[in-house]
Amino acid sequence: GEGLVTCLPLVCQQCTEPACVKACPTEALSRNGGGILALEESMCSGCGDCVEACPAGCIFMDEKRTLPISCDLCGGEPQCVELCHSGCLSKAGNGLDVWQGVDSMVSLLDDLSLWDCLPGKGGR
Amino acid sequence: MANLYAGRILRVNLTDGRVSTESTAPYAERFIGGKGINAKLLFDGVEPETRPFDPDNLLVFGVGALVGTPFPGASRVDVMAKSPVTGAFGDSGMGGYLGAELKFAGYDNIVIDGKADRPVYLSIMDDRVEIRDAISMWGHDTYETPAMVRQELRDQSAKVVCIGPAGENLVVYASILSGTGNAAARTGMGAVMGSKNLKAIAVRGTKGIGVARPREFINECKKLYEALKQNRMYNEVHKVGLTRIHDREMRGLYELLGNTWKGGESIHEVEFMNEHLLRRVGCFACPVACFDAYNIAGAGAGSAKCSPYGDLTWDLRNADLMVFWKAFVECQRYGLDARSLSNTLAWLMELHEHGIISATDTDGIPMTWGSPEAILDMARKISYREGIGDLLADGLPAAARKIGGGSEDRLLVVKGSPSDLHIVPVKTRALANAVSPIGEDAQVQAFLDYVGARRFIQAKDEASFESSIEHYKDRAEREVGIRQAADPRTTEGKAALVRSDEERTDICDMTGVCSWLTPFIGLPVNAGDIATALSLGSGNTVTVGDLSKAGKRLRHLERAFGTRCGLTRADDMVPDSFARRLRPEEPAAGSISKISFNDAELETMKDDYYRSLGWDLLTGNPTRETLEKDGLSDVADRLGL
Repeated sequence: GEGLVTCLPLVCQQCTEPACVKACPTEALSRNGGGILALEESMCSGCGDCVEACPAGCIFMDEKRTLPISCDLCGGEPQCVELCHSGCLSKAGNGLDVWQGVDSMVSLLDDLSLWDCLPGKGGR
Repeated sequence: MANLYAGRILRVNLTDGRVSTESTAPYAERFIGGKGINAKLLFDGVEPETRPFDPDNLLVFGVGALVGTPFPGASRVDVMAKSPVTGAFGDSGMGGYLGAELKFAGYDNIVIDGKADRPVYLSIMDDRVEIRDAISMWGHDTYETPAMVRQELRDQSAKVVCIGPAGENLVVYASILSGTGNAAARTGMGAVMGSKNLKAIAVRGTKGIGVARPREFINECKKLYEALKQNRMYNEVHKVGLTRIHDREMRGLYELLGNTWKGGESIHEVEFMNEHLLRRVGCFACPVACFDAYNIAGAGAGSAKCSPYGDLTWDLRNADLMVFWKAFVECQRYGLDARSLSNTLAWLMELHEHGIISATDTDGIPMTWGSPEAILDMARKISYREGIGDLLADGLPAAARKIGGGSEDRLLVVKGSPSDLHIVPVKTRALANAVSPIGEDAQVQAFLDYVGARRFIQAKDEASFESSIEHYKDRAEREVGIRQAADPRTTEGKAALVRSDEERTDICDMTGVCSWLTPFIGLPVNAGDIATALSLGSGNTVTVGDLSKAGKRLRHLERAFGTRCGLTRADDMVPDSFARRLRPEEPAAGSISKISFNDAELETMKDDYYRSLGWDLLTGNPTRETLEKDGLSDVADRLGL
């Protein structure tokens, strides 16, 4: 609303069935043994299909290196959670067989009308 | 300039539309960044005969050197120009997200010269800088304008600062607002912006900031974040913002002043916040998030912290915090400094109380203490120069001259700028206000003699007073090497206390680190941490001593600017109304006067102050010897010394 500003951290939801992995034509993106998103840089062609595919814009392109900036949970201890001072981030799973956390991000983006702001999704 | 700095100063001339850049490098070593570099740019670039609303006045934005990094609280931008309030130096800081975005876009400072021939806004998108038409935005308030600018630029992530109707109408107390409620509000920077027909500045930056030793830099930041999380004061501020601290402060101030208004007992900022808070809001890289955001039906939305809660309640004998909130939202929307509104209303209420003005002078509305009718809508009237607003829009001294009848004697104004009604006339406040280039500066509020004064009025006898300030004297010894600085009855050590506060705020203002992260309110980020971060960031060794020296250069520059405007030692004064307010219900010649000050004491403290800065005792101006010693021969040259 007027006079108020909304912020939302676009953090990767580590989906069990990630749209980015599905879209990757070279299989550079995958889920590793621990179920965490992994990027094999040598296999990445820089096509950007992963960025297009993520429904909530949680993966970005590093323009300089033409590689996606994908979340690897900092090897297990995500720094974003550690540094967040408002307590809005946590390492969570919802106990479902298929965690499609990105759905909750999408609802937030809908509720807060933030679609115009997403890089790589038409906004800037 | 590979590291820490963006490396470029942007120069925009609104008269001929020319845009150019120059390197930050020649300025950084002597002046660090932010307010330091601004002061040099202003001193070099504005002539004494230039008036505040002349096209030749410069409006300068300076981003602190650490801004854009994860250093906690490094978000601040300094705004500077010749001021329509003081007629000389003008300066105001703001937090939020503009600073970081400017650094990411590639600029450390912006110098705005000239005047556009129609309303314009500045669009800065990395290297693409445009002066764009703002006719459709002119007239819109500060809540509507950023949305319009972002819409037109098709960039919802652009950071926008703008003026409202107050700035457009050259109201001297006009402010510059950001979308997150940050305001460069004091000394009329919004009016200068309006005088240039500049409605807004929009920034989007996509470059990074180079850091010489990134891993160590990040570790330094993390250490500070940890220290903050362990800190008791951090946890308090993080939960209740500044409401609890400010509640206590207002009560303490009024107890010292001699509070005869019982209404203050029912003012509870914390309760108001707990009842209505929407969420906490903070600035770039700040873990404290001290702003309280509200969205109250029928009253308005926005974010506020600290001063306005007291300025628009206690100082106006208004106990209704909802009236404060409505009046505050008006100020935000219209782009008017809320403190100046408070100062204006308090003055009018005092005039009304003493029969110097009546309701007929104020559009039929009696300016009774605490009256909601008197308070609400005044921001709009001033911003649009309607009715009594037109008289007030050119500042209180000008209004007093027109009203006459003794109204000038009741002005609480220093160097043209109004002071808060709750300012306590203890010795450090008298000195700090008298010597400050902008009049009352809320950043320079020495704690030790203030708390000593409070102990004095609470003490039963001399002996218990002496013992109650023993540990404050210990602290005074540690901080400034003078035990007696904590004794409110003597001038000893008071200049040292003021210099200590000035040094702290100068270091913050040059590096962009917010004072609220420092011992100013009991948080642990100090000058040593800042020096370490500057070293790791820039790759050059920067010490606390270097920062102190740069701070002195800043003080010399501010003083030199004033000198060129014709100011001297005689202008370093506070009005009679300042001293006379301490506990008026008690005998004037009693012991209470010991903890205040008289003219002779103020002159003694000024001597101490000038001596510590190497300024001439007769004129109050820096000498050539001092300027050369501190690396400012070019300033001495320009002063004609």
